[in-house]
Amino acid sequence: MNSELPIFRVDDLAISFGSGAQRTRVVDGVSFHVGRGETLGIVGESGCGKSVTVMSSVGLQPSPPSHVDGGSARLGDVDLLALRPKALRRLWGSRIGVVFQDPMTSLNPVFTIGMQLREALAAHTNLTDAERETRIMAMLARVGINAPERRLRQYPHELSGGLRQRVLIAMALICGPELLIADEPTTALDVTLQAQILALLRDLRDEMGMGILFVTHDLGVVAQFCDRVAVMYAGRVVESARVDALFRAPRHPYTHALLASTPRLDSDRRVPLPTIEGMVPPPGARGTGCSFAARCPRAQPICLGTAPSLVAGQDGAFACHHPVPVP
Amino acid sequence: MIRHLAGRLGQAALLLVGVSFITFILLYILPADPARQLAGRSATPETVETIRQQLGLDRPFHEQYLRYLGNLVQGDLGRSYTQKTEVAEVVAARLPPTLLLMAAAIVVELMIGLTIGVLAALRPGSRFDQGAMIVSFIGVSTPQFVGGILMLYVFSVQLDWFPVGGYGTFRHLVLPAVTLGVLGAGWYSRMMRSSMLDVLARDFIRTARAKGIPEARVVVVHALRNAVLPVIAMIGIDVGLFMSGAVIVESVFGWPGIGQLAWQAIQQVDIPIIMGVTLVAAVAIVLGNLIADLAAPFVDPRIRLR
Repeated sequence: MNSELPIFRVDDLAISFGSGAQRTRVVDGVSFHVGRGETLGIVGESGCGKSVTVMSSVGLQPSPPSHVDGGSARLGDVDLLALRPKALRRLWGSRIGVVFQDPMTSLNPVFTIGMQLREALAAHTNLTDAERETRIMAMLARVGINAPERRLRQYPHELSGGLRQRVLIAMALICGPELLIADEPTTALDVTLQAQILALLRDLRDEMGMGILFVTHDLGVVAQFCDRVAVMYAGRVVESARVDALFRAPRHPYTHALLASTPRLDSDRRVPLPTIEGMVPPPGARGTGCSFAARCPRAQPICLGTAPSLVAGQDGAFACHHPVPVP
Repeated sequence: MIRHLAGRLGQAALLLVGVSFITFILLYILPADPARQLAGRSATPETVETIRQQLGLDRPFHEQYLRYLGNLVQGDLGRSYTQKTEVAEVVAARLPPTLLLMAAAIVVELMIGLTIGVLAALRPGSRFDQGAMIVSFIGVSTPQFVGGILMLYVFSVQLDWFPVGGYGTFRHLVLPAVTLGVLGAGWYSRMMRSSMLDVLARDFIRTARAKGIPEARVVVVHALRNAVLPVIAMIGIDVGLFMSGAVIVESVFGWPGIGQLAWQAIQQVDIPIIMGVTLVAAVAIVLGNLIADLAAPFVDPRIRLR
């Protein structure tokens, strides 16, 4: 399901937090793109800037405290970063759908499911009440919610977590967006539900043809669900590749270490799981060199002095002076 | 719902019995002798003794209290010492002005308090926010007699826009209602601000924004409905407070309500009236809270009455 022309393309995005002397760059030089019907995974540990990057790129990151310092984010041929709030709002919910992490807290507790869905549709369409209801019912049925007419009258607290996430997916997709942003949509769910929701998202993607930007820290989910992946570390993309290539032959030492520290069914239980020593350097304490150098087993003097830039390789791109050799 | 209501009413009844007991003790603690007061200055000791027997004041404490409670249940609050009329009648006549003032004051409080609170929460830390919170603080810390007299001086004496005091027309209502409302609005604005800040940071606000609905709708519909819950509880408290606590403002503006009645009764040591007013205030506080409790589920469906 890969595509030649990207529907969403982020180039050289830089984001900082705070103001004045406390202003700190948290995301720097991040670029990625998503094609029609394609899923790009953005992976990284907590605090690496993956959510901030994705939310900022579509203007949904509250500013202040964050600021976009540079770069562009194009949906089709529109640069989202240059748009005024009003113009952005016309795209949110219509051409850009978002599913957030926690279904338990992402629906407004004091309004019915019906009201919250109707509102999403009414914001961008001029349908009659009857047409709207038909479309909502169809969408609810499509995301696997039975007895939709009853659900419409219910409040969020009357629904289980899995159902709520389905409602949120219906809400994000009701206007048929080109781009779906899924910010850890399965992290708060148990494993069985996780698989169901991922399968649903995959089916909907194939059916509706939207591109998905999938933010997660779970490499297992990436392997199952994504076409390509961008690995982020300390506010930068350190490696991006097709999923099969990345899992087969990770080139960046961080990606390599990350994969090595993922438990597998066939790993030897007597050997402790490898971990990555040290901590992610906090924003502001990142020097001129490679941010991973202090924790990197392959680091050389040059790594501490000069930050490597992302260079295209055979199957993707990586930012490393001494990449892991292809096996 | 019905069972919940019955339970709450039962609690309220118990509470009121407690209040009636405490107010009844007043009779004993206060140095004033009701019989002597009723008889007048020139009465002979025999007359005073007769009155004492008529009132049952020579009976033991528990007997007196039970009789008082029995009368209370039948709506008999006793007779005023000074006005020679039924306390229930005197209090009932004062209820409409107090209810009117209370309603008007709460409307003013809500209009000012909610508006300032929401606007401050939208820009926390801004000049407006800081200024609004300082003004709110001044409002809640200004004594009512200072605020009231200041209002009188500026708007009645100097500008002559409103009458100096009294009751009857809308113009009479404005100054006392605005005094109570402006001074009380500080509580609402501060509470609304913190409640709004809390709600605006919740996940569902982000979801609402991501739908592309206008920001005003996000704030007024999605956030406000959630943030207003503590305000409802506060209105319930205010209902009780204004029924009893508008004493100063009612006196300053010559407003013929419960508060003024209480003020006069205290000065004249008219104990049956004081007891009656105390009881009415207690009923109002209980009712105010009950109404707030009953209203909450209509705002937040997660609150269910058992």
